[in-house]
Amino acid sequence: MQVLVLSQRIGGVNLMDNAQYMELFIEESKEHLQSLNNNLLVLEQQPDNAEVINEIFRSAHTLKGMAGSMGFKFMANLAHGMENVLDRIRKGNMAVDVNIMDALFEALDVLEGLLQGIIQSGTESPLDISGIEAKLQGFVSGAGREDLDRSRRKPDDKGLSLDEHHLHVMDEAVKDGFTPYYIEVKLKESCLMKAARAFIIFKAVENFGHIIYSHPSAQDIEEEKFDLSFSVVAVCKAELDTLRKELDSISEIEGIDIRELQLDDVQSHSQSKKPKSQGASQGADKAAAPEVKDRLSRTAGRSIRVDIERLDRLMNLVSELIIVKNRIQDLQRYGDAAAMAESVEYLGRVTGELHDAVMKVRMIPIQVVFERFPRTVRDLARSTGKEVKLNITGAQTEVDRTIVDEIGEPLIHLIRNAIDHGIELPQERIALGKPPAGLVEIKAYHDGDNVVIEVSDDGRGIDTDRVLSRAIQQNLVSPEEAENLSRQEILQFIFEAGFSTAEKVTDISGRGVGMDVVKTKIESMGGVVDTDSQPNKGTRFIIRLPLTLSIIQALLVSIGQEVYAIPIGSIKEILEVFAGDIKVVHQKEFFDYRGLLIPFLQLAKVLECPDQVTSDGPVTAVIVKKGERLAALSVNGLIGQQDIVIKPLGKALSKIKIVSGATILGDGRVVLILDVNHLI
Amino acid sequence: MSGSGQAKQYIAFEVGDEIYAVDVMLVESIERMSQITRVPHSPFEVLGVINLRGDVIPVMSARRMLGYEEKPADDATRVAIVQHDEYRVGVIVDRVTEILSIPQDRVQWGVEALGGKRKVVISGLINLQDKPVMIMDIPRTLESLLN
Repeated sequence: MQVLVLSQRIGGVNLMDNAQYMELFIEESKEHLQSLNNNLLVLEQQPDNAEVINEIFRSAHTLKGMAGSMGFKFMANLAHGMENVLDRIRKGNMAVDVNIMDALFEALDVLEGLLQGIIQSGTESPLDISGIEAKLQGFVSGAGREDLDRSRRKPDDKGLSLDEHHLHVMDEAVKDGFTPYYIEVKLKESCLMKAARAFIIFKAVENFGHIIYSHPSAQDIEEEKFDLSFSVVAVCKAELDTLRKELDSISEIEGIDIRELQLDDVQSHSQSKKPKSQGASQGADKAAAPEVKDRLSRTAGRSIRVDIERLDRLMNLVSELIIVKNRIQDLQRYGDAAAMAESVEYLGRVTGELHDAVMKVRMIPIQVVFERFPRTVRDLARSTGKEVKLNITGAQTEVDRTIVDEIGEPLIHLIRNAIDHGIELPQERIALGKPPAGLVEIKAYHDGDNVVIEVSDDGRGIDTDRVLSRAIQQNLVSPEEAENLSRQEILQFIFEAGFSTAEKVTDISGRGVGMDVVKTKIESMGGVVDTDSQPNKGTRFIIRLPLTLSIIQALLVSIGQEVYAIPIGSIKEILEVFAGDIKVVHQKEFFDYRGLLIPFLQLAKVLECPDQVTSDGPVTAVIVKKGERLAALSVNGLIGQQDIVIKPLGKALSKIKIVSGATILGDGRVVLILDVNHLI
Repeated sequence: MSGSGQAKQYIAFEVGDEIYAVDVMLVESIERMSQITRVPHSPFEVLGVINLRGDVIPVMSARRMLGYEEKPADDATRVAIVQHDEYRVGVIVDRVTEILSIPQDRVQWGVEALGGKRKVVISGLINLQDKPVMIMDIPRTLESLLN
């Protein structure tokens, strides 16, 4: 209590708390929206799946509660609207049809929009939700009449539908000496404030115990969404007469019907008839148990929320360790004691293990990204009039958190392309002897130190002739050069900025921006994207990303007085180059690399080093690769290979492309990491 | 903002024989000079990057920003780490002198007479104890020099 008072007195505390809740609210809302999305998709396929309906109902209900407690009125109202519709479906008063599904999806999208607004501005943007709200309400009021009719026809039923949870609570309460009561109240027609009156009745009952169920729901009653009568199930520690006396003293009540509930009596409503009391409730327990357990395991397997900043701090600690390791390595050169070597080895092992452990914490299944796709595919298929099946494999493949945050957008783009440009219309497919429904496949798997993600379709494939003529038209290649291009080389044009073969600009893609953005994005993550396409067989995009982004192996080289790091991953070979191996073509230097002329770059010149060393003898060249392309980089000396921690250069130097970051050596010196992709 | 008699705190430093001031809210810390690694293809004002307790921070020369000749660092040379938006940059100055409380209504904002680069870098002028103090506009400077 003391603490509570204190926190109210200190002004700042509340604000901080709110920010904390906000984060939690956003995270959890995202999860619930995602689960809503997934389950709605399932419901669309299996309209009678009661479990899914319940799951959806629970998500909507939780969302409503969370949004309400944060004061986000629109979200709460909309979630409430969804909840009402789902409640009707759940009770079997309404069948799922296309209109309802569309409305539910629409409501979900609006909820997502509202959440995005909250994430950006911290407050709810006044989005107009009246349209969708009315739509949802329409289903409810339509079905509501039906509901009423039913309860009139069968007065015995009284709309009592207790689920296992209620029964369980009731059972427990009985064990603790409570008595379950069924109370039906009918208010006088003259009653002005029905909700307020109902509230007083609720309060009166709660003086004796707890209300565990009400019909209509407490929310509906609160909002006066009931006729004149409502019923509750309560567990009380009072005699029937005491309860009746108390309730009778409340005015504006037409009549009250109170009776003690027998457990098996209730169960007859929810389940098939079962033997007497104790046995029956145990049966209910058993039925409920596996469901609860199942739900628990699902939650546990899903995620552990870890603040990324904390992880980054851990990451920094590891980098510190590695710096120390490098420092000892330096000392070793002078001291060369055996013990020194041993400790370096030990330290190396520790840092290696620590690195692995931290990386694993940072790794999350790529499922988080893939989860969005079924909905995307559904919507795209509907809007294009195509039939599309989505096949996802390897959703459990773990990737670095950074990749998860960044990869979604390029993948969505590829999927859009596949459906819009790749997959043909059903008639067309039938004419081609293909099944009417197109197939989009997404695969993720580990391959060595890489994560590979493939997006493929069985559509019409990329028309290389059209790509080529378009490339010539856009002056990306001369008609003469075009003659000698391989199929693979032609396909590379689709990654050029502003390139598009779409004949008409559709709503979905083909605006001429796209593939180059995909490529840039993937390259910014240190990855590569490649494509493979066969006419009428389909197209496949292969994305290859490094497993870890923060620590890499690099070769340290000296250029003049300066030291630079070149990632080992992009080095093919190191060799001595003699002046005679260098050819000059169009003022550019080329190196004859086993019969292949590759660009020869003097790094000292490229990097504008102030003190350039010139020597007559052979120079050391590092052969680097970027996909299939090679280049020779001349350096003045090789220093050695090291694990280095990549540190960003920050926004101020983000324009400098030939440097991808920096690292700190054991002596505290900063060394820049060269970005081979932008050098050649 | 102007018109009110409120005073704001500024960090004053010397470049050449003139006094400049930066809003204290933008300054994260004042550091001693450390070894600079040159960054190829960087803007003229950027001398390179330094290691600031494990973070790599670009450093800019106040001399170059203000049109002075470069001068070798000495014991008095300091790096003011400034932050604005996503930028975190060190500004190398000859000497940090004091913290000034500058009444905002006495500042002459918009110094049109300044030419060249200073027009971007300097946003105001105030005479304190017979010495003119030039107020640097860090956000505007970073955005214009680094973009």
